[in-house]
Parts: sequence; structure tokens; C-alpha cells
Amino acid sequence: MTTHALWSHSLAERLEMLKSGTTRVAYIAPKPEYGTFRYRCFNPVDAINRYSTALSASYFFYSDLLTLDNLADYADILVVSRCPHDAPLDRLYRRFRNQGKRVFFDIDDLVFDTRYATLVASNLGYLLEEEELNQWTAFISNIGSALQASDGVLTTNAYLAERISETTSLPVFVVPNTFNDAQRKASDDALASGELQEQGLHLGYFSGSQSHSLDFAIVARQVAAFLEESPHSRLTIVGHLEVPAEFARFGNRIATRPFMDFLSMQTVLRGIDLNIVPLQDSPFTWSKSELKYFEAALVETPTLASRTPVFQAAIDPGVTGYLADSSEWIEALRHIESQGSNELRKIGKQARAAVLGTYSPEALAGMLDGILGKQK
Amino acid sequence: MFAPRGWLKRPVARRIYRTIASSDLFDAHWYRSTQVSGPSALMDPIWHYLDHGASLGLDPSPRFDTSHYVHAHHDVRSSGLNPLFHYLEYGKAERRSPLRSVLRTRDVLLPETAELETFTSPQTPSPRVTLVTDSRSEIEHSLTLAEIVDSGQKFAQKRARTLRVIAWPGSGDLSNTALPGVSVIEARRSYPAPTFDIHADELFVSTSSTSALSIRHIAPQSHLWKLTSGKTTSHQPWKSPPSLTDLPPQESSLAREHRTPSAGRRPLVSEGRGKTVMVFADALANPVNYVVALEELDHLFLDNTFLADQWNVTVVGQGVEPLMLADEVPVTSADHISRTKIAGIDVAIMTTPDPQVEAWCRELGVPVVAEISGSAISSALLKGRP
Repeated sequence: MTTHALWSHSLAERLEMLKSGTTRVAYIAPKPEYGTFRYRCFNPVDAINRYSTALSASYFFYSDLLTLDNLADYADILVVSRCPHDAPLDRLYRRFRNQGKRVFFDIDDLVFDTRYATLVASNLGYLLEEEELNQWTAFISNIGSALQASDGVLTTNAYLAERISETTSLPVFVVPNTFNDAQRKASDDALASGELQEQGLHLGYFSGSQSHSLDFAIVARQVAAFLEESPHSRLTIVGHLEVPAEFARFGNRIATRPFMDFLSMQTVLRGIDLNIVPLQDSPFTWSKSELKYFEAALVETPTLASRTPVFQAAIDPGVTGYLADSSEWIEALRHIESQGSNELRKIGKQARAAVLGTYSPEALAGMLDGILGKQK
Repeated sequence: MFAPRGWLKRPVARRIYRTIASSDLFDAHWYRSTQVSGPSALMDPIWHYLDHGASLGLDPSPRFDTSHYVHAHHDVRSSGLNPLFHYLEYGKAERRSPLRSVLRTRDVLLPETAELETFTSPQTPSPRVTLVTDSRSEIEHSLTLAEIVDSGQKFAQKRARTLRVIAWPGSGDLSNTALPGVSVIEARRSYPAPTFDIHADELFVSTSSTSALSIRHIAPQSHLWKLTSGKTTSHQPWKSPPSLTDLPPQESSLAREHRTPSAGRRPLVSEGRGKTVMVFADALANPVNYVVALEELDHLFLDNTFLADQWNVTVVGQGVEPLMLADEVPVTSADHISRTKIAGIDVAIMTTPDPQVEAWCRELGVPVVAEISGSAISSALLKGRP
């Protein structure tokens, strides 16, 4: 999915967002989409324009470069989101440099380092051979080149920041993914609905991309075993995941929903008791952000996640959510069920209070003020 | 109307056909009357566009420019998909424009001003000067290409640099000139455009008003020089960026050959909303004024978001083609206009004098802007606004 009412501004409207008297930040992405573009371009732009007094920001796409002669005439700082190095990007860097302006590169996973090319491909479930593997590696190499050509790097977590620092002496800043104002409003609305199950657990698995079938596979057997022994529990799967065959025996206790708009998703998240986030244990998943945790927490739904460095840093176990190693999932599910709905509700409320402070647009604007506000 | 029997039995073909048929970007009547002639006009127009038209660069309606879409997007070229189908299925959601921007219109009408396509490369041990020549270099300086290159070589030697010459077609002849140590690239204009490596500390010398525009963004201004000639030939650093208005306005040799195949005359298709500004041009004989006026309109629409809801823009004349202003305002085109249609215009911009149109405008009380540079166009469109 690409288009959304939130990022449908005309080019003139987007240029108008860059205000004189502020440090003007232009974010550029290859094209609009629901994933990286939303978290790494739209959300920062929206947060800056609502809550920063020092900065103003706007978002652009490669297609805009066919109309704008010189984006550097409108902005003081360029933030390039995960674009591979190519001729249009080379020209864009040069235009900013010619005017003595700085360029930052924003990256939210390991696709900048060819050493991880095959690892990332296998974690995504890609079977790449010969020409496809060459193209994949070249793509990663070009992202790495664009990163190296910048003046500084923004990334989503400390693990990725360490990996980036292994390849460059550029300054690296951690700017976590966050929710946006519209998502907070949708969550506030959703909070008015949704009651926890009296018996058993209503589990929810939200698949962001095709890669997640491998993530779900690591706990599928344990989740199925839990559903077997807890006859009132059920599972809702949202997104791309194909329901594994072993779940067929549970009939209508397994529900599937198609990939949906991220604002509508908050209502679905509110309707479940426990958000489950299993992840493979590899550098690729360690580089993933904690977005599934804070999006569920916004509607007071607790998360049980794999014990990766990012979730360990984000979740206080037993206070704002739950963590489990891959062999511990059935025990964790039994424990959470035995605690009862009051405990789940308490954890959910504590999680919401925690993420409203840490992952809010206000926090994001403050962080970017500190990083980009000093760069003009 | 006919198409090969059984063609639409293929599911993929049926899907493509239906997608295009249900889109308002395919205008069967317009396609048949302006893009095809002879027996082709009897064919099913959508089938004709899919099977022949797109590959010939024909447009399905005034709102979709096939050749622009193919040239601007390498993935469309390599996919082999019909460009209109690609736009409807993917490009629209990815915010790609169905029409050429003003910037690209300038590149097409004034190819010698198009930005030099470059990649920054790691620094080599020997610093370099790049001299860019084109069809205006000899004319503007009354020098031969050999003399221009010779002066460039002296400029480079004085700074202990090597010299590279990028010579576009029409630059002149160097075949009988010995140029030891000089690297000469006889560049050819092509799609995709040829790409040149450049270095961070490289100096660039423009030798004409057009080549100056082509290098205006490729280096900091302190690295940009220009050839000047009078009693003596010398090189001067740029004091300010070059502008389109530096070009001779009536220079028809700057214009490219008219590309679009057109079977008949293209009449005006009115968009019918808001006020109408009509730009009259001969884009082939006088491309500079036309592009200057378009750039002025582009900036106006980019800087004033409300204009998009208030004004329609139409271009009329020889060599004009549909385009998009400010990435959201489609501009329709026609190659002629009748007196009746003049009555519906709110402002006429004359980038090329047309006594007949100007007489009609006077008669019908239509305001005419004949001064292209400056603020006349802005004043006309922003009239009454603080």
C-alpha cells in the first residue's frame, strides 16, 4: 500500500511546510509507502511541524525531482531515507553541498552492508540465486554508498548504530520509530471499545510483511499447543501470513484479517488481549524496531515479544509487557493466562503510559531539535 | 473498428484493456482524431494504442504523455509494460506525473540547456578542468572550436590541471587540430543521456549561454567559470547563476525537432473550471520565451497553493504539448484556436507575437501580457490579491 490521506499533500503544499525563520528539513524517499516512508519520513515531518519551534520539515519523493529544479533552494538540511545511490541522488547531494548544506542518511535496517546480504535475504525468505543475488547485493551496496556519501546517519536503535559505526566514521544518531498524531487520536477513539475475554486469551499476530511467516514459524507449534490446552483462547492473524496447517483444527477460533490501514489497525489491536511478536534470532531481527510494541501499547494491549535487544530495551517484563526466548513461549502464554484479565489490563495501562512518553511525536520533535537543530 | 479476433480472450490482455478502458486518461475520440490516420483510424483505438501507439510515442489523451512517461522512468522502460497501464496500476499511487513538468519541457525544447548528467567519482591524482561546448559556443564568441579549446588549455595549464572537453553536436570541428594532453569527448544526445564522471575539486568552464545553464548545478559557484571574448579571450568566474533570459529569445536553432506524430490538427479541449490563462507560443521558432513564461507560471503555482483551484492553463500554438505545472495542474494544449474560444479567456500571454490573436483579444476585451520576463504574469494572475 502506498497512498494515504495523511501524505497526499500537493507539491506546493509540501513546499509551503518549509518555513522561513526555521531550520528547514527536507526528507526524501523513493516513493510513498506504509512502512519505512511512514515511520522515517512522514512521522518526523508531522512531529516537527506540530511540536518544534526551531525546525520545519516536509517530505518529498523522487518524482518531485522532475519538477523542482533545486530542492536545496527550499531547505537547509536534507534527510535521505533509505535511497540507493544513483544519478538523481548524486545530483541531489551535490546541490545541497554546493550551497554548504548538510545531508543525512536515514536507515532502519541492515540493508547497507553487503556482509549481511545473504543473511537478510534468508531472513526475508528470499531464495536468491545468481542474477537475483547479484541484484540484491548491488542494491545493498548502493544503499551503503549513499550512506557513506552523507554527512551523518540517523537510525532506529543502538544495535544498528553499532553496525553502522563499523562501516563509517560518520556521526550516527539513534532516532527511534514513533507513532504519529493521527495514530494517537485513532488509539484514543479505540480505547472506548474493546473488552478483555473473561476466559482464555485472545491472541493477535500482526504481520507487517511476507518475511514474518518465518518469524511466526518459530513459535507456531507452541501457540498451537497453548490453544489446544486453553479451549477458550483464540488467535487473530492480520496481514500477509498464511495460516499454518496445524491451526486448521481450531476452526473458527482462528480468524484472519487482510493487511489494513494503520489507523484502522488500532481498533483491531484494542480488540485482542495479547499482542504476540515472535522474531527469529539473528542480526536482521535485532535491527528491527519496537513499533509493534508501542502501537499495541497505545490501545493498552500488552505485548509478548521475543527477547531481542530492542524489545529488552523497550519492555520492562511484568510491568509494561512480556519477553520470552523461543523455547519459553508456551510457558509465557500459560503464565499470562493464569494472571487473569485484571493483571493484563494493568500491564496494558502501564505500557500505554510508558510509550506515550517515549514514542510520542513530541518526544520525536524534541530529539530531532537536538540533532538537526544544531546542523544549520 | 477492429482488433485481431480472440485477442481479448487472454486474461492479461483483458485486464489491461479493461483498466485502460475504464480510465479517464484514454479518450478514444481524441485518439482517433489526433493521433492516427488512414486505416489505423478504423481500428479499436485501445487495441491500436496497446499494439502500436504506445511504442510510437502516441498519447492516449491530452492528459497522458506517453514518451515523457517512458523516458522519465527507467523501470517502465525495462518492464515492457504499456506506459498508461503502468501509470494506472502503479505510477499514480507512487505519485509519478502523467505529464511532463516545465523542467522537462525545457530539456526537450532547449536540449543544450539540460543539466549535464554526472556522477561524483573519487579524486584522481591530477586535478582537472572540464570545458563544455555546444552549437552556440562558436557563434557567441566568433571563435573556432579549436581556438576555444586552445584558450581552455591555457586556462588549465595555468592552474596545473588537465583539460577535458565535452563537445556536444554542433560544437565545431577538431579533426585537424593537434591537442596533446587534452581529452575530448564528442557527446551524443541519447536516451538515457550519457553520463560523465566529475570530481569534488574539478573546475568547469562554460563556453555559451546554453552550456552555462547545463552546468549550473554540478559544482559550487566558486568552481564555475565562463569563457568571455571581446578584444581578447579570457575566463571569468561566475558572479551569479545563469538564467534562461540570458539566451537570445528568437533563436529558433535552439529548438529540437518536433517529435509528436500528429495525424490532424489538435483543437482546444476545454477543462471548464475556474478562470483560464492561455499561453500563445511558437515553441519551435521561439522556445526561450515560451519556457520562460512556463517557468514563471510554475513558480507562481508552487508558491501560491490557492491558484491551482482558481486557474486553468492552456498552451496554444506550434510545437506545444500538454504538461503539468507544479506537479498538479494539468495544462492542455492545442495547435490553433478560433475567435469564439478567445472570448472565454481571462488572461492571454503572448510568448510569440500573433497579430490575429492579439486583434481578437483587443476586440473582445481580453487582457494581454506581452512582457514575459519580470512580474507581468504574476500581476495578471494575482490581481486583486494583497
